[in-house]
Amino acid sequence: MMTRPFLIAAAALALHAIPAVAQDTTHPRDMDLPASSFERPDPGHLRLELANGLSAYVAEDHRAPLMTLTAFVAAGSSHGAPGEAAAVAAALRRGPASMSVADFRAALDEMAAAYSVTVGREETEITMDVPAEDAWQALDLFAALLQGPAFDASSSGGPSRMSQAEGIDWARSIAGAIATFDSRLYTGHPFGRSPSVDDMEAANAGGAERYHGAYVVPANVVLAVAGDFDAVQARRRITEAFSGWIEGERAAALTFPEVTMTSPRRVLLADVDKLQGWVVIGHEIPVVPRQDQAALEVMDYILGAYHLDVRLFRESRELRGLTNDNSSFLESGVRGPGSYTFRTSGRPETVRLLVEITFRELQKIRDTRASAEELFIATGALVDGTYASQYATGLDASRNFALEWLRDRDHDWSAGYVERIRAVTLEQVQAAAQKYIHPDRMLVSIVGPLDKIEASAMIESEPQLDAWGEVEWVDQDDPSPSPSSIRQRLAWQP
Amino acid sequence: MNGSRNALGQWTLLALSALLVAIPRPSAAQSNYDLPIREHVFGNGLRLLVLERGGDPRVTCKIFTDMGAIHEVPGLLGTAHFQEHIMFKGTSTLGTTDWEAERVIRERMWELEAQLIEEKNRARNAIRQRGIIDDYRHVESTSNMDELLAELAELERQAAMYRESGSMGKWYQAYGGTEHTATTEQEYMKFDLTLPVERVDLFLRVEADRMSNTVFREFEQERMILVEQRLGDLNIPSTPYYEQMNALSGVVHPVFWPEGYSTDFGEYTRTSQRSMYEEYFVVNNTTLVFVGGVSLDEMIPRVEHYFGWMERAPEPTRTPAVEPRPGAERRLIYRNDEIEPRVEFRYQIPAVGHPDRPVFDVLGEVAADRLTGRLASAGIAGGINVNTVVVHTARFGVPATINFEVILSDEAVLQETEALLDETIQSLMTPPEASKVARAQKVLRTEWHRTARDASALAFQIGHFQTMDRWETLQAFLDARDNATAADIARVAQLYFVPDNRSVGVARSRTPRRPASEERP
Repeated sequence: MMTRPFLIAAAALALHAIPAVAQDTTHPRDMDLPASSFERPDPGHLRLELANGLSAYVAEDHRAPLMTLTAFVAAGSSHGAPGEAAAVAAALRRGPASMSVADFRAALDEMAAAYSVTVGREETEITMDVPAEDAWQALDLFAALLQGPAFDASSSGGPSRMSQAEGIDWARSIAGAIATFDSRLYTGHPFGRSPSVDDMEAANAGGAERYHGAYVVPANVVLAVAGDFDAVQARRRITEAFSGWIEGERAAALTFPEVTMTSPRRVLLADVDKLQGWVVIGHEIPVVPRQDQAALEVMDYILGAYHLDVRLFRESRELRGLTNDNSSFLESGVRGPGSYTFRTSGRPETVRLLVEITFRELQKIRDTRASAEELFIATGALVDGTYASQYATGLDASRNFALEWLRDRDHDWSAGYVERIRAVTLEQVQAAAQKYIHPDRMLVSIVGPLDKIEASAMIESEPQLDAWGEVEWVDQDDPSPSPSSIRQRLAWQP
Repeated sequence: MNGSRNALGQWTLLALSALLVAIPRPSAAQSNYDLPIREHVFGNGLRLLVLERGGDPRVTCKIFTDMGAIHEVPGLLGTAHFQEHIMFKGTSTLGTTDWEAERVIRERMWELEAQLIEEKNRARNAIRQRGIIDDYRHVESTSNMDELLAELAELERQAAMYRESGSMGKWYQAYGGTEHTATTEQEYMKFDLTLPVERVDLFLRVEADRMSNTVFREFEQERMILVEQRLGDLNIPSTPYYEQMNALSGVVHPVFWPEGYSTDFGEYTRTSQRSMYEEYFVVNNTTLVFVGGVSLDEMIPRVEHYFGWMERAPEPTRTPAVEPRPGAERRLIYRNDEIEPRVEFRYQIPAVGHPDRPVFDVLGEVAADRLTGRLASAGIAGGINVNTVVVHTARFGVPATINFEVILSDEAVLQETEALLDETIQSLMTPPEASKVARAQKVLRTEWHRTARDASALAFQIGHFQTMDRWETLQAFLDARDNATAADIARVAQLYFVPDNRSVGVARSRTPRRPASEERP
């Protein structure tokens, strides 16, 4: 799929004809490293469109004798009535209606298949990964599954118990802080709904089938198929397997209401007896228009998107040794709001300073220009690193093109990405920070040993936690807000 | 009892004979694995391993050092991991705005630390015998030590004026590097990167520098970051249980030791770290692994250019520890209210490189399947909620264990589960059905292919096998799993699953809980 560059061999001959007798310590900036010859593959070469409206991206990938089938559905837990998406996911986990659950599991077992169904707020992903020797059997099974999963009116909606295999106490860790943050951010919004028992019963009594009929239809699904096969044969097999899927109307894309948090800040505190405290600071982020995306991405990289050597990480970990990590998470929605959060953790005596440093850095990137070197690093990392990796293998390319088509119905975003990132200026970086970071109206969610956090001696100039906003105490066993304990802070009304 | 001793004696003989007998390796035509790894060993001892994937626009690069936690000493556990952290701090050519100015300060710091160590040794009895507590904040010192520490801190502050942040990482990022990380385990340390193929020189330039010229910057900050990582581990309620089980499973060998006790972190010194650095981070203790769009022929001159100037060093010290033959069954009762009740059996098994070792992977799959079925048949799965059956075979070049663990939600069935676990393991001494073995082998084969699909995961396996045994063992290991028979499984079960070779772990609450069955409406 990719053209192999010959630069490397020529450079090797030219540069290394004589073995070094001393260390070459040429600084990286002076190494004259060649430009990356990577070119994004042409999605048109991978694309397959069936008469019923189903789109697929089919890529050969001969790294291992495997095949990966993925179906992306443009609907998630926020579509349909509460509980319906979960009930459809449970049906998909049970297998096709034409098989018993036991037979489906035996078939997966026989193939040593890895199979998963993941429901997001706006999208759902179904993936089956199998040995290439079972490719066409798996394809037929996958097609049957998507077209007619085993609905079960008596079901409780599938497994709900969290796996305890890792022994991680999720509720009392960063996950607890995130859950608390999300529960407040999306109160009253479709993204925050939690199905009740009645909802699940209604979903199992027919709601799930309605959801499936409305959303899991060819025009609303995009396949990514990659593996150790001949693409011509794979395309023919896919066509045969899915042509009988009854054409459905592509559901009108739902646009979800915005969430707008208002000042002042609020501090959510959960007291747990642990060795560290976990911190999530952030707010909502609206659907980001295409013209803002590149600068926002570059700004986020400089601030904290990459684990190593970015501002938050440097200030709190490298220079002070306060934490193992402090990173940003820019999680934009597709057609609805997302969140922009900053997450860290530390021993009790560092937590208050971690909050202070995080706010300090948020303010700094709004108030001052980034350096030219920061811009150079971020653009190089995004273009030659993150972006190039997304299309480096058949599996990666098929998945990313499929997702792009699901969301945009074109490939303009990936086609113009490099140019857009390279064009970002320092002024645009600062403008993005000012537009998308609002320290004055953030939620600060902290889970940890609060008495120790509060009692710790000041290290720099960090204040107590209540200095960051009005405090709300959270019951970690039930982090969802109760009407009496939380003031309505979301401008959006259902 | 006699039977146990005999069986273990046989095991020991087998272990010894393995030193002389190579694992039979099927011809390429018989193998299910395509691993065209090519090797070049340079005159100075540096080993280069390349698995070329023509047309791949990126290359995964890893540098392995044959050094890990098994080279630590009690009281300084975690130093191998700490060394990895320090090696992110830059060199004399990267991470400084003026090395000559910084060097003067750092040399003074070495002198001061030598005085500090001397003062600490002098005061050892006084400061060691007073209220030692298991707390990373616990520091005892003398007034002289306090002065020296304060002076060291001031010098670090002065040196920081010449600090150029980002050192190496930012250049990797700027030129398209991804997956830049490092790992230290019991037997190895590695640094990782994936780059556009045209820029592979950047990895060689930086890693050769890291290996030769690391500057021990921000020592105190990194000490606390290590504490952070350790606290993160200890926040997971099951960590102390597993560490207790490790301590029970092995008596002598450092492979069974934890990643550092709270008071260990305060004991790390620049001097002890430099000793480790100078002994182990030498060219003849290093393996470079590349998987992706580069060939061995292309890489040889490039590697020669950046590493060829290094001279072969004395062979690094290897741990002389040999885990003695277990003399009795051991049992842990772990009382804790935060983790799920569980029963675990562990048996010592030989290292990678021994012909029996691959069989345990297959046995593990067969056992997990059988155990799940038996628990379900006994009504434990349905009625009492078996959460997890874990059969874990740690992979080391030194003796390891196979662990059979059943995690429950109701401790009322602990005894019943232990009996069932015992029965299941006993049943493995009869050859399993061929279809079950074939299924297990297919699962393992597929899991391997998922690993091999990912260049980084594949490069890790190649380097890991080199540090455990030899890289050639990888292909032989995979083939041996495919060729294991039902009779092999029964044979190793009979040989190793004897009571004297067993450590039993039982985790239960401190305060007895009511059985879940009684709590149901």
